[in-house]
Amino acid sequence: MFELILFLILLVLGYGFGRWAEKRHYRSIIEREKTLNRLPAIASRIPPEKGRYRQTLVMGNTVISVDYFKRFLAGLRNLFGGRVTAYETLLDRARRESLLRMKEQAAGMNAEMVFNVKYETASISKGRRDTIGSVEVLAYGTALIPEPASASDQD
Amino acid sequence: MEYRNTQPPEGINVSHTHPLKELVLLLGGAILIIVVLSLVLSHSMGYLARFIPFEKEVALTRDLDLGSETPPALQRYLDALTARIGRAMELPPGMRLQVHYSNDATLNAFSTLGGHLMLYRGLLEKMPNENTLAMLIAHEVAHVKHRDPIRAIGSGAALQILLALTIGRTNADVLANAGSFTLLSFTREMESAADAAALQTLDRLYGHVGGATRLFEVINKARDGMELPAFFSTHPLDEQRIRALREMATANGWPLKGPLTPLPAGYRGWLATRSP
Amino acid sequence: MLISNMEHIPGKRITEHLGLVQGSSVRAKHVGRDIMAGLKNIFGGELKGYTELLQESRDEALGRMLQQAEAAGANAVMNVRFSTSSVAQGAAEIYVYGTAVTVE
Repeated sequence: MFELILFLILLVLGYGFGRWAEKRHYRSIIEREKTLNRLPAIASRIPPEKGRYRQTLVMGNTVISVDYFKRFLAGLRNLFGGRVTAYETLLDRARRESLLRMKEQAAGMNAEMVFNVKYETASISKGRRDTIGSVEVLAYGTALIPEPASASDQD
Repeated sequence: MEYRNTQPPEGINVSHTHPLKELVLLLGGAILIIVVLSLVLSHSMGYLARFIPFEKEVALTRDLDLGSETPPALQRYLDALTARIGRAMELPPGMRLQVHYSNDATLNAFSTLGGHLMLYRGLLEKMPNENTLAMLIAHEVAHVKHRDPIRAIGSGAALQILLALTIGRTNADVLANAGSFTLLSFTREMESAADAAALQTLDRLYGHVGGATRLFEVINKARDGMELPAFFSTHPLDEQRIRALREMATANGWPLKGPLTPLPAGYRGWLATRSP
Repeated sequence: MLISNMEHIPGKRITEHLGLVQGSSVRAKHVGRDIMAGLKNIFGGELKGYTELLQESRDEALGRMLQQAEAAGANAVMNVRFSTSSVAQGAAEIYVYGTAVTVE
């Protein structure tokens, strides 16, 4: 009985806080995406032919965990199969947040664009029962920082 | 070549079903599956448990210690009464009954695996005559005859296995838990069947079923104002039981009234004695 | 819509890079399939249920990426990469991403 009550409390808390945190996170993601939109992130390997650029590796990572409610939902979904909607926002948020962090790092270096962007996803608590599923997403790429014309003669 | 970022619209990579709606759908489905499965499992296990030989039950409960604080005179009387009831009920050969008595104020009586019956002082004190006492013992003997304890344990074990499979949480080992022999809960069908068998036995023993319904009146009255003992919680409501018993007696032509056999002279004294 | 995992599209010239587009899909198979797969693990052989599951997921993820590319006004997606990760027990995510471009 005590376990059941604890479970319900966790479920309600997870639902309330999870939704609140998710909304807040999305708002911040959308806002920052707008401001960083001037910095293109490109998945191609070949950099533009024109212009001289200094190159640096930039990266951003995020570990996000799913709330108790969604984990329960995903567990139920496992019984029936189909699209696990509970985990969709988790991954979406982690990817966009990681890309934003990478872009923020690049923007801090006055980069013009980030090339050869790649993602790496790892599930941290994979396969463990009774733990909350959490994922790490790493976004990395090469920032192209325009070199001033005078400096271009060196190096 | 031009490089620029486009902002993809929101919501392509996430679905729009409301999580609560999904929860209701999934939970409903899961509960339905579990209910159907557990019904099927517990019924089939309860049915199959009947085929476990009674000797196995006896062997299982060999180490069961139900206490032996019975005053010898009371033990002799209860043994004799139970033996008569067993004969009247035509127990299958090899089904031995053992009566135990507990000097405890608990308003309770139960039967468990291996033909063990347990009677508490609290309930025995309330018995107005032998017919009512016989009804009580016959009810418990009927459970043994119908193999209710092993069926209850069978379905209980089935449910636990199912629970362990679905939720993944095992309550340690299934058998150890099912082994709490004294806390068996019988279904209402089992209780009604035991009532019916007990009533028939009473008619065979005394030629009438007088005093039978007194048992439930006694329990009902004693229960007023005190908390419900767990044992009685699955028993059908007393008024319904009394009515069902009356209807059954009339249908079978068993006289509802007749001379009641008094309890032996020393009965109250035996109950009061402290155990040796 | 042209989808390619190459840097260049032979015979075509890229006029515009429109940034990253991505699609993802998380799916699970019902327990029956999981049980069957458990049995197959004993005897070996193809796990048809899971092959199907991952293929469905991949199709959905691709579809979602294309949706994003269309919204960006692209007519091709280049340098496409797939990645698979198991997020939780029994649920796999397929993730596909690439660069949305316009080609002549």
